Amino acid sequence: MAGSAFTNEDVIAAVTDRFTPVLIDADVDKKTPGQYGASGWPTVVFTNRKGEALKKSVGAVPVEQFLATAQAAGKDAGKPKPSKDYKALVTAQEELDAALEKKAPAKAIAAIEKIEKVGRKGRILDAALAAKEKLVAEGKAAVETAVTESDADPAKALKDLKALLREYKGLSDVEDAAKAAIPDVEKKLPTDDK
Amino acid sequence: MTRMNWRAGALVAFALLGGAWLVAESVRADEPAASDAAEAKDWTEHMGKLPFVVGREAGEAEAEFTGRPPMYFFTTTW
Repeated sequence: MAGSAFTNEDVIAAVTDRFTPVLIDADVDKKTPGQYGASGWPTVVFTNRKGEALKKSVGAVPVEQFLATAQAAGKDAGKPKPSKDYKALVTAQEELDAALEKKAPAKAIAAIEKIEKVGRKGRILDAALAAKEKLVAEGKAAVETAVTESDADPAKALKDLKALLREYKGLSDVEDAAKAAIPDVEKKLPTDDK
Repeated sequence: MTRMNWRAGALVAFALLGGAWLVAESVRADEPAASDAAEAKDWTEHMGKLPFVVGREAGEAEAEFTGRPPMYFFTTTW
């Protein structure tokens, strides 16, 4: 079943729109399958928010059949009622995606801080931390570029470094690198520009 | 001489017992809890592209958080 149904885009949409997919290892958890009348593997049981079974799919079934079951169960389950924290997390994730697409580090950092504030482990936090790591690497590379180019045009390099300080505010690794570079670049300025 | 042998023997025994205790503790620390056993398995092929949460407790917590009730997928590794 998993090889086909769980990779089908329509099935993925139908399931994730209304349900939280939970894998139960029947070798480890012997209680839960019994509570839902599952005795053969694989078995899928769609539930409502009260924990009651809505629909069941037993064994390997055609994708179309599984999709129909998932959609019918989704109608019975009704619209999701997410927690405030989840709504905040999803909003912050959307803001982060938009900021990364627009290459706007300051907005991306603000969105990452919101996700970290919710503090819930999971895919969204993992993605945010990965994005943060990437931003740090990009920021430090930009600082290095400014330093390299400071021999040719120290005034521009200084301006770039100060801009990086603003854009990457909150990422201490980048801020520290920029702050450390500024005095050396200032020394390269012509006397009049200092 | 006999007294020295006794002391040496006691030291060796103490060291061996201490070592055995340390080994036992390290084995205990590395043993996965029963609830972690399912998470430790590789479910990649079972999951397809669905973002599964492994285990009932974690699944229920996620369901409450997202406001989406669980779709339980009961399976095993053969």
